[in-house]
Amino acid sequence: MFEIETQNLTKKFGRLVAVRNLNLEIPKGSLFGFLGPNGSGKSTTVKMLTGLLPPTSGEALIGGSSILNSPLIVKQKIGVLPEDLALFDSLTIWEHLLLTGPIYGLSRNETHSRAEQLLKYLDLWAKRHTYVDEASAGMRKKCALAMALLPNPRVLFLDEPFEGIDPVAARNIKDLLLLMAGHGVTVFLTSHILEVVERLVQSFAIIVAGEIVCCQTMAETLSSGDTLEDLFFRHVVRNKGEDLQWIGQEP
Amino acid sequence: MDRTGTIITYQWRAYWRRFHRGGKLSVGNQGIALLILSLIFIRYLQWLHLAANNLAAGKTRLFEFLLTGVFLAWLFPLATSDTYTIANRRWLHLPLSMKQLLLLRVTSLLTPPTAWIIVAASLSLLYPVLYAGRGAVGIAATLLFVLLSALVGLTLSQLVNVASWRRGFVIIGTVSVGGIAFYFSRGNASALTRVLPTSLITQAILGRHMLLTLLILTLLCFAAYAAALWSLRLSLRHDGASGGRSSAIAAIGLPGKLGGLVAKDFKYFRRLLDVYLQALAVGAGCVYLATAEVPTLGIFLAFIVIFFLLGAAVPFNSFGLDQSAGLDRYALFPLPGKAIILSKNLAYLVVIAIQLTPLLLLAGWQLGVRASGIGLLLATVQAFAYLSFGNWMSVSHPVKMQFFRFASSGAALADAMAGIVFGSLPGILMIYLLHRQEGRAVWQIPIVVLLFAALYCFSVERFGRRFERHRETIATALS
Repeated sequence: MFEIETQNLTKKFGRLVAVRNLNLEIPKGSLFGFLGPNGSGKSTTVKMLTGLLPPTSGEALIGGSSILNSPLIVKQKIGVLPEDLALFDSLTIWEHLLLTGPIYGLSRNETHSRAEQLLKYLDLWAKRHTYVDEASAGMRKKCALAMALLPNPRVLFLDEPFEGIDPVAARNIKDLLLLMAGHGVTVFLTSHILEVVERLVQSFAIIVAGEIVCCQTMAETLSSGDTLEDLFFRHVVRNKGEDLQWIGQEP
Repeated sequence: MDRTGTIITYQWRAYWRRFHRGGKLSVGNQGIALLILSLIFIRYLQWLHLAANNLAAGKTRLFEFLLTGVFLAWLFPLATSDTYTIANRRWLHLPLSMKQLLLLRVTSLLTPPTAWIIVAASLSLLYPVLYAGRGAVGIAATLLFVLLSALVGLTLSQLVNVASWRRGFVIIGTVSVGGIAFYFSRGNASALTRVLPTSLITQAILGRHMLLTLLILTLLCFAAYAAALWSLRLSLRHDGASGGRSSAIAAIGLPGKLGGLVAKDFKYFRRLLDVYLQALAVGAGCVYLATAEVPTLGIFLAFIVIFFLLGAAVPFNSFGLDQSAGLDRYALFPLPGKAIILSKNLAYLVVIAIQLTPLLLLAGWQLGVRASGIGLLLATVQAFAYLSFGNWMSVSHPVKMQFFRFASSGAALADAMAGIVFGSLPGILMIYLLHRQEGRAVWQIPIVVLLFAALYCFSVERFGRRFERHRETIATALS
């Protein structure tokens, strides 16, 4: 049985098909990378898998539970770092974590203890009383990540976890993800930083215009002599920017 | 001027496009405000003619009253959300001077049609002056007064963005109200009103101290302009909803699965100006109970009805202070929609419970424990009624609100009025039952309470499910 399983998952916005017939099978305890250019359907997929967006058709099972029929059971199992971070204005980082724990059934003491350990690990402890609307982008992302990790989820969905994060915290997050995968947690992450994904994930899929164009293990990629970047640009068209010669010239 | 002109053009375009996209004029209460203001304006024009006749006869009271009305109308920026005007910080990265930023702020405030009515009403003040044949001095004094009013309103709206000034306003407000009450109680009211700018203008119009009055008004305008510029600079430094270091969760420590969410919304709701208006009603009620020779149960209960009326917009738009990102977080939590609605309702109850406690305690002391108990029952049933209607409004007609402004609702005028009538209904019914049918009220009142309690439970269940289905639509309305 797979920890994340999708069957013909599709999302349409009017006439636009954002994700078309997505079929994924991700085993328990694996680190899975979901790659693609902007607007390719990555975040829409994450939103459907985490209950933020209802699919137009198809089905997805997380830990054996259907996102359509048992959304609350699925949400109890997962931790999410969403694209927009989903933070509340005018609450501090510390307040966000204290708010989250009891919702997942954690006691007050357990919430305090886990929140303190997470914030220390993510180098946010000293800044825990900063309001999120006054915090830097990196601090906000770390806060959202700590919220995702606090309930100790079975499955972790991370949308661009390394964007805007300092190198020390990025290294800590990578170590943590490897540790979690070692403990049987399944990690589904999207990222534009191909070098990081290459070193971190065991398998990946590339999505372009809502459809999977490539899905394989990292071992298969490396054994064929390709880098992840080579493979990515084989599927994604890049503009060369010949029309931008005026940039940098004297006005 | 090119830069500011371009920004103003696009600001104007964005403002009207928002209505176009919303598909209705009720967005942000603009439609309601426009309708009410238009009706007031028609009545105002009638008063203006009367004031002109009075002024010609040397009677100034009505004209002074209209001047005061115009001054208060210029406080409208306090009720205007930056969502529909200009979030000043967005322009900070552009090469604009502070004066240009002030110009942008002023023009953006004057974009909505409601502001045009206030401008028209202000300029209409010249009619009585001209009718009374008071010439250039009267015109100059009136125009200076309008300018002063506008600058004061602008300054105050900017200062409420600064945490320390908000605390300052509470102190200044309390001291001012106390001082005025003290003056009035000693019979010195006329001495106090003589130095108000409204009196100065009428004196100048009547030909007394003309030059001195113009000089004072000019100096006041310069001071107000400097204050507007300074407060803009200050608000840009402190712009942002947070401010202060207090932590609601740490302070209240609400227990339970929803405790954190309740504390969050408590923190949000207490940052709406409606709550302070409600506090004034409680203050007035306390003064009544403490000073009236024979306080009555009916008037005490009427204060509670008025209290709810003044804060009606808060439960009618309970998602209005959330960002669309916050809505996403609600969806990520393993909570059903009814739990989210319930957390909002509980937060509202915490806010009103804290405010009503002194009034209920004082009623217990002055009118007896029975009266206090009836007051509590009335407050409970009113809360049920407002929340039942408010849950429907919050899910069906959400609109973005801003901290430290008055709450607004995205509903049509008829819906909002229906909500107020529905919310006040059980309270008025209880007062009626107590007044008319003393004996039967013992079993009639519990029936009213149970009826509205059942209605409330139904609304949480039903609109909780609707929230789950329409969360995306609500998020779009708040973005």
